[in-house]
Amino acid sequence: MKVDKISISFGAELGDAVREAAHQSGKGLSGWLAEAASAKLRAEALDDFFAQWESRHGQFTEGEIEQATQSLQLPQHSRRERSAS
Amino acid sequence: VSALLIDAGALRAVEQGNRAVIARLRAAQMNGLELRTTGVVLAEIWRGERPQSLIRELFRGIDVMPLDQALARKAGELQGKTGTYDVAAAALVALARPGDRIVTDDERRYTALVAASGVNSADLLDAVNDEFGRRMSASPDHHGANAATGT
Repeated sequence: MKVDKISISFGAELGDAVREAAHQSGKGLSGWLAEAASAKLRAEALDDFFAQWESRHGQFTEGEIEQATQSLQLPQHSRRERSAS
Repeated sequence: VSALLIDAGALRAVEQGNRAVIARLRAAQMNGLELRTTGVVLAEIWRGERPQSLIRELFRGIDVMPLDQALARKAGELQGKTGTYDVAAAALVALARPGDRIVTDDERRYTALVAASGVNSADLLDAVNDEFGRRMSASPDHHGANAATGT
């Protein structure tokens, strides 16, 4: 696999937290950061997908989200929490 | 983090604009669940017509797990126990961890595999059936969704 080496800078506190989390995960610093970056990219892609979809087809109603949430047996979100997500 | 595991039927339902299924993905995202599938499921999708560009955008947001040796072994064992030949379904069940949910339009495809995995099917399977699709299609903002897409 081709590897891209990137030099990055963190504030000291965040750097310590990242090192500790990477150590705890047993994945190593590069592996942990790569996984975090991948998750961030996926989250942004999902935001784009839902924004595009809702702009074309209309925003989901509270009822639709509640029904979907119940079906998945997930905790219910309030309207305020939903708009913040 | 728990995940919503998506099968090919559910992805096709998304492509067809099924609001009920897309609402599930949105609800999962809002709850911090990863949307996850396997490369085998994507192979099922690419077997048909080229997916629309919006769906390819969705693929970028899904954690696609490779069928590596460990997953292949679990999937193979599940097929062996159940006498089934459905690598995509078996791999998805094998991928499931506690707290995960599988969203599908075809519950029957998974029933035996889930039972063989030792998990209560009600805890793992979220079947988007005809009844749910009809109920959602009655909502004011619904644009012609049809939950049953077949796989």
